[in-house]
Amino acid sequence: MSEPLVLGIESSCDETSAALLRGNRILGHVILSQDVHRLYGGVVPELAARAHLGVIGEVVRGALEEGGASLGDLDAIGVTAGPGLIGGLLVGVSWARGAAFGLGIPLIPVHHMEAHLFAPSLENPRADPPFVALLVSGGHTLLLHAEAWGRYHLLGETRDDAAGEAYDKVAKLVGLPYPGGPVIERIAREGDPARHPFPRPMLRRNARPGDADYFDVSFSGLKTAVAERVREVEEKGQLEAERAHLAAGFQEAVVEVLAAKVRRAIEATETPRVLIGGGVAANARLREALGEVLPKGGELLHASPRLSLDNGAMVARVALHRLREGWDAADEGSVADASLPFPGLVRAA
Amino acid sequence: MTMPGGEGGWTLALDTSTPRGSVALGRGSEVRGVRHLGSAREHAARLVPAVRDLLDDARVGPDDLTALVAGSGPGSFTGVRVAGATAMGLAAGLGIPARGRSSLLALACAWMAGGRGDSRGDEVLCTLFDARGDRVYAAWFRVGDSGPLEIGSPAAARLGEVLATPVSGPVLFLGDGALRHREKIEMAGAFRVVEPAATLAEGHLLAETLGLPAFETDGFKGWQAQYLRGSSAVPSGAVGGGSE
Repeated sequence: MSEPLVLGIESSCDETSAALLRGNRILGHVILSQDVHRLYGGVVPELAARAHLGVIGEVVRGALEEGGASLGDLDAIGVTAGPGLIGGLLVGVSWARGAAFGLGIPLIPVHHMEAHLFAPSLENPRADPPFVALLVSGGHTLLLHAEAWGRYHLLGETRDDAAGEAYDKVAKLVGLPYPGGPVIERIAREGDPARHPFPRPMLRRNARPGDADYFDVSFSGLKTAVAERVREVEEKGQLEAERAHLAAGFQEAVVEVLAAKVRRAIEATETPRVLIGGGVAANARLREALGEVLPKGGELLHASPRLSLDNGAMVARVALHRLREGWDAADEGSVADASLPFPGLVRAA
Repeated sequence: MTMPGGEGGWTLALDTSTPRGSVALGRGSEVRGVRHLGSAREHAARLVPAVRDLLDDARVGPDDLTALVAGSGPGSFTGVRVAGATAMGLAAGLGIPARGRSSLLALACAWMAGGRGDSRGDEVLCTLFDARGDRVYAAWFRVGDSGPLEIGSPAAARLGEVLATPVSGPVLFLGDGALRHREKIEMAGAFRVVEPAATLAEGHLLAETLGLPAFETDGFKGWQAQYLRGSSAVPSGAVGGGSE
């Protein structure tokens, strides 16, 4: 019997995406990024929701055509039900609910961050638990121990800004466009990270395994430190000359903190494999630093840059997993929830 | 006269533009059933279950539907999108067209579908949706044998601007905007606030039978939401307010 054919839909932030998946094979995949938000220096929820409604049908059609299938061929639809921006989530969930009802097939709600956890397995069939997972995006920074699919222990998280959010805010401070992650990474290559030695928050004062914040991170203070330094160099008329050094110094601080926390997670869980997911996972310097903290025989798992973005394929991948587990819930349970709890996630003791 | 969904076909209508969301099922001039969707917060969660319940009660299968119609706004931005996205998904899944039609026009039709109360029959209609504060979404109609005929274009406006519109003869105001501002409206001229006995979804069913203007999608082509107002966001570096 062949693997089920699953459509995955993602609309939780500023990417409208749909993918057609059979097994681990992506048959069709469209990701439409909304460029309009660059004008505003960040995602404008109302504009994002309007854009999703305008294109969702065409995005789905594109994925189906690329995969040589029609809606009638589907066995199930997976859709990101949360967390995310409620306006965008409602567009995806409402379209998917209507379609699943019309087709008489299951609708499977998917947690956005769990989908990032599954993304590497689309390209690497060995990318399954157990592993330590660092999920870093514009909205989240989570450090988990995944014992098995659906059995996750939360080790740490951010106390304030998410890592991607910190990149966006610092980019704005140094006069770079949104989104900040790719542009900071690019110009940081030309800068000296030691020229502006920014603080490494939550490292020294939380260095023992029993400390409350042993695995947690915080980027708000770092952002303030960058803002202060930017003000100083601006007063000297040196922002242009110092921009790359500021970017490099900031990035090095973020990367060092995240890598140190991952090392602690590896030691505490005695798990040598590390998965990195979410938009910030596309950052090459972060991946390099995580590779350096791996123990002998360890392995770093990550998706390609395209599948590190928000995308429909990872959503379809989670839905496929649920189907294999025997999903049989009615579609009535699928409701968009901006604060959807992570399924199977418990805070580590 | 166009029968909704064609000869013998069932039409499903839905509207979540206002806090009074509704779903209705009809065929020709027959309205088989109506469901209310509760508060605006519940619309997204209750819409598809209400459709299922309505069809089950009427013993009509999803495959017996031949047409869909949904309110395209104006109204709650979120509500407009919930109706549009659901109608698109249903259309794509069922392989039938979905039509989008002004929710303000559907309200005028709902007044006709509900029996017109004690109307003299020659009044001008002004349908008003509440847009918070003293703002409303408004559209004007004359009612003829072929249904409501829109006068001008629908607009987002302050109530005072709407009430200052020069109109000859009596005017009937309806909608949640009219109910909210009833006192001001009825003091402002030969104006009367009335409540339609039918829902917006029933108004859409009547609009279908009358063949009133609408756009059509197969569920993949984009939905033409009528927001009538822009986002309040201001581009970086821009000075001044948004377009709201």
